[in-house]
Amino acid sequence: MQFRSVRTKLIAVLLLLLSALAAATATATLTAMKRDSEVQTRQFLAVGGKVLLEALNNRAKQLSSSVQVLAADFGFRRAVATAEQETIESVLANHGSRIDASLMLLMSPGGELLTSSEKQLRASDVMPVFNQSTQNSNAPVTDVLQLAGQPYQLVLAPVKAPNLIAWVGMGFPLDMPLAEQIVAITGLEISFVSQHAEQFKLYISTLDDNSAQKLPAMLNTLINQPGLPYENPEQDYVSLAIPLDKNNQLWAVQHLQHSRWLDGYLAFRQQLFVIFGVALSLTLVVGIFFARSITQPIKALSYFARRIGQGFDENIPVQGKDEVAVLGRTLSAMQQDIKQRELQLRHNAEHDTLTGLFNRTAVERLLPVILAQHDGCIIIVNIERFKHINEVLGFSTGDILLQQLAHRLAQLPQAPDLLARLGADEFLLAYQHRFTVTQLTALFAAALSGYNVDNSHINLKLCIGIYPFSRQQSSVNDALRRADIALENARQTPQRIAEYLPGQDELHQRELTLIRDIPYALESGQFFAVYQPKVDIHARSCKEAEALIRWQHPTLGFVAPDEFIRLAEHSGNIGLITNWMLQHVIVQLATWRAAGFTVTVAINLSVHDLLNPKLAEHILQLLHNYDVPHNAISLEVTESAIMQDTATIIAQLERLRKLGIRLAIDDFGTGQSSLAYLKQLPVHEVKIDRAFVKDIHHNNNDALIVKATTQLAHSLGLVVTAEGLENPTGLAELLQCQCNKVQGYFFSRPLEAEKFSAWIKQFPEQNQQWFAQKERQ
Amino acid sequence: MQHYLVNLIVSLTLLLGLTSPLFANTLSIRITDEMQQAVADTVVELIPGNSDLPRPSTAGSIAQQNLTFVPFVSAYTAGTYIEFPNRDKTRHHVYSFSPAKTFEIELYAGKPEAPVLFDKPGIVSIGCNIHDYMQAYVYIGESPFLAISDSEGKVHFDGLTDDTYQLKLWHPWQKKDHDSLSLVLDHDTSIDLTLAVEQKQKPKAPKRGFGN
Repeated sequence: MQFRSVRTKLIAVLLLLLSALAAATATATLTAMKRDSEVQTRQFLAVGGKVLLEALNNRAKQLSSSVQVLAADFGFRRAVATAEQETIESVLANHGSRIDASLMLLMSPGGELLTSSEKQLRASDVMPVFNQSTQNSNAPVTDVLQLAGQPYQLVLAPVKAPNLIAWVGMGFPLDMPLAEQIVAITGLEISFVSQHAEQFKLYISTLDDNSAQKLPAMLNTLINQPGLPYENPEQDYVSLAIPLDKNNQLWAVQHLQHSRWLDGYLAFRQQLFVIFGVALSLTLVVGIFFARSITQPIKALSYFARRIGQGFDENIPVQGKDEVAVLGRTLSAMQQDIKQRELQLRHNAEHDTLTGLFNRTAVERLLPVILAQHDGCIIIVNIERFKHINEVLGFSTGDILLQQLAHRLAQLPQAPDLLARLGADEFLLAYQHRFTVTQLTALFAAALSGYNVDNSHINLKLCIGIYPFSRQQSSVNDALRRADIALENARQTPQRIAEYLPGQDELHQRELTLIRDIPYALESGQFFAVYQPKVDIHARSCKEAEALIRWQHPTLGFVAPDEFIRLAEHSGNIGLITNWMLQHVIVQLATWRAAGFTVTVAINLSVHDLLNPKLAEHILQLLHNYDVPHNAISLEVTESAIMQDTATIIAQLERLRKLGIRLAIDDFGTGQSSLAYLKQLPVHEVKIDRAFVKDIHHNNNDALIVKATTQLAHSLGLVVTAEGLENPTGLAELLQCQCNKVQGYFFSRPLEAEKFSAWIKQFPEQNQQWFAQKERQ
Repeated sequence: MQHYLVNLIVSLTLLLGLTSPLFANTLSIRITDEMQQAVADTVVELIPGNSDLPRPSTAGSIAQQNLTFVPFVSAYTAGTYIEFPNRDKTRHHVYSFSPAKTFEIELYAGKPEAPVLFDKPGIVSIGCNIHDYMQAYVYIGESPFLAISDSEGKVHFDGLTDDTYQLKLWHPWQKKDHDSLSLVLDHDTSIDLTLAVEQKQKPKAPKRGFGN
């Protein structure tokens, strides 16, 4: 069984124990009592039976003497001796009435019945008694007999004159007065019954009528077990049958009223129940109080422990010296220990182990207060090229430097309201007032130089990002991010100090969004490719185009390729874009080729792509998958890209070139490379940057550069394409410069695939409109 | 019974052969019980067949002495007056309800006023109304030839003329009535008779706590 509480359990156990005890006691006592009662009943009946027999015996003796005296009466004898029937009858009646005899008779010494008061009486009826008389003719004999349908105690006495002349018999009925006498002596109810050939007859009973009526049915059982008490469930009596006569034909049945001992038994049982009930109630009450005295402090302790768990300060709820109080004190001690450890943990959690300053977690807790109270500024300081210091001087030196810097920052002339180490070599200072950039430069001057680590003098250069905030305007995240943006900007400035300007954060947010959205945008078709024709200006034909990527963002709208490509390059996502582009263009080429339209499309590669050793394999796989010839695509690489890791990239280009793919250098002329590089590069084509082309018609320098570059490229065996042609005048210049191909708005802006294919199909018929204008001029 | 009679006749015949009788014969009878014990106090009456009966003695006496009747058994011929002298210090109340003689001598001391005439043959049982245990029997016979056996059970008659006698036996304790015998006497005869008797103590005064 499951108990909900200790109290219930305690009470249940107590009650159960007591009940078991009481039940056992009651059972034992009542059983013993019942057994005793039964033994007593038996004894009582046995004694009653003896008393009955003794009483009858005494009565017989009394009657005998009475009859004997009567028989010795001279007048009686004289009357008997007359042998006159009338005389004898009257003397019998007369003398019988003297001793209250109900039945009188006279017998001859030989046993004939001379006369009797009951006319139907026969000599044979009296024979059982008379037979005894032959044993001793001097003394009276008695027995109990059924005479004339009545049980009698019959006394037969000799009449001597002086020799035996007759037997006089006097019968005394077993009647109600006798029964009542016996009841008075024995205290037992009594019934007289006779048996005649299995027939039982009830003569007299002192039982009430109802019980008496039930008696005959039981007689057979009773008489068949004389001396054994019989308890009849239908009667409220225990009965015992006692034979009265020598022939066992007359019986006395004595009855002991059940209720006599039953009442005692029931009263005792009642008492037991009352005692049991009172004991149970007391136990219940005591149990409840006792249990409460236990559970109440436990409840209090439980509440105490819960409050401790929730971190509240509580007083010990229990007093005293018992176990519960000990537990209470233990919990209290635990509360103190927890508080101690919590402080330690909080200190550990909020402090940087190296410098002892607050850490980022602490900043998140403390900064909101500062942000909410006053206008002020947050400054993030970063050691420039700290990685380099670590590498050169070792990490332990780096750590010492960080400790010393932390110390210096704490000792600044204007002590910060909050100083924390955000991580690595980044420190945060929060002030509740603002500084100008100049003030700050002065402030931090003291923290820059004169570090002595292992006898080496080290001067530090700090990058400082400042975010001036207004009271209650910024969240911690915003504040930190904006300070970080400022720090990022500071790295780009010569003074290495920058203040956050409004809007920078939004731009930053936009960039973050774009970076985040690129992978999904690629999958969900937000990107699409456009194709810008490359026109051979000498042959006046167009068989090539450059594929350019476009992004229609669902919320930000059109995103400039420069922007997202730069972000993709910074975030390492450019590979995804290149792959998408390769896949997309090769599929498009396959479609076009299936439609019988052949064109060579150039795809731009980033430096990241070129550094991927599996690039060539990947491209080859794609071409093969879509059954597109290798010369259907060409690849464009920026000059600046090549400059990053020249050897690797040249090797990569060599591999691609061997596959039969045409290669071009894009944006040529804007990088810092010298022309000498050109001869090393295994490319087929040079694309002159639009910066030199768009103003070529009125800028002689540009024209000269284009011309020289073209001549140089030609001399190296390279094809030259000019980008960014916008007007017909420029076309003439480029023709004059011997540029091979031109790409630009003058011919067409980049077109989507269908428009591009349409454009290129109508180009041979309609190219006159571009070239004719030139001729017109 | 038949067998018994045959035996008796045989033995009588033997006895008659041995003696030679004259006019007066004697008769000796010895009475025993079944156990061959002598039976005292047995009354024997001989009733002659032809002879005239002699006049009976006219007086008898049954005394009360030491609170008993003395003798216990007596036999008289009918017509005898019997006295009941009281030799005790106490009074007695002698009575009889027997059919042969009913009488009553109420409380008296010394000699009663008159003797009592017993005029009918029969057994008279006599008692004392104030001493129930006192008992005496008087055999009133038709014939004067009456005798009572002594302690050896012997009875002797003299002067019996030759005749055929009817012999009667009676004893107060006899178990049943004795059939009368027919006896021819012509010489001195001696016979043994057997009588079934219940041996008892004679009535005797019980010891009482009144000082004597």
